[in-house]
Amino acid sequence: MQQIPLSNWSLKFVNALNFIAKILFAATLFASLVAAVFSIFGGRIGGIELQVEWRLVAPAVLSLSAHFFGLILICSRLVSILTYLNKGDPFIPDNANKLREIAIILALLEGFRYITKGITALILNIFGQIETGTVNISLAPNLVAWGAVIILFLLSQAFKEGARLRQFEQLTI
Amino acid sequence: MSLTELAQSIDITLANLSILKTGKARAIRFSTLSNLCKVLKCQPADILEWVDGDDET
Repeated sequence: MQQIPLSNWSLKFVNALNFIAKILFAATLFASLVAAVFSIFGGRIGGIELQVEWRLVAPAVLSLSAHFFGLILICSRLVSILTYLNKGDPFIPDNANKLREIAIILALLEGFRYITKGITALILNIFGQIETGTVNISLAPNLVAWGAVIILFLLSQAFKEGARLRQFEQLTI
Repeated sequence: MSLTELAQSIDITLANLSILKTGKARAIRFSTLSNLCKVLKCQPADILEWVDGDDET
C-alpha cells in the first residue's frame, strides 16, 4: 500500500494533540479540586489572599473538562480514520461511523457550552452577582461550530457512500 | 476443467471465481463475461439467468 506523507504527519499531529488533551483534562480536574478547596476554606499564596469565585469557576471548570474530554474522544477517532488513510483506503464503513461520532461529539460539546452558560446564569441569579462586577452571558450560536457539525455529517454520508461503492467495486468481477 | 484452470484461463483469481460461483458478486465486467464465454464456448444467456426477487441481492 502507498504511504501518504501528509496523512502520516496528520496522524502524528493528532496523536500529539490527543496526548496534550489528556494532560489538560487531568490538569483541569486537578484545578477544579484546588478551586474547590480554595473556595471552601479560602487560601493564601505568597502573602496574597486568593478569593475564588466559585459561581464562575465551577461552570467554567465543568465546561473546560467536558471540552478536553471531548477533544480526547475526537482525537481517538481521528487517529483511527488517519490510520486507515495511511493504509491507503479510507472508504470503509467504520470511518463513516467515526466521522458521524465526531459530529455528534462536537454538537454535544456545543450544546454543553449553552448548558454551562445557563448554569452560570442560574447560579448568579440565585446567589447574586460577583463582588467585582457583573457578568454578561451571551447565548449567541457559534456558527463555525454548527457549520463544522453539518460538514462532518455530510462528510460521514460521503464516506458511507464511498464505502458502499468500494464494496460494490470489490464485488465486481 | 478445474476451477483453478478456469480462473487462470479467464485471468481472474480463484477467490473471485468463487464469488461468481456462489452468486455473491454484485456485478460482472463485460471483459470477464466475454472471457468466460470464450473459454466455456457458450453464450452469456447460458451462464446468466434472471430470477425475480430483491434487486439489491
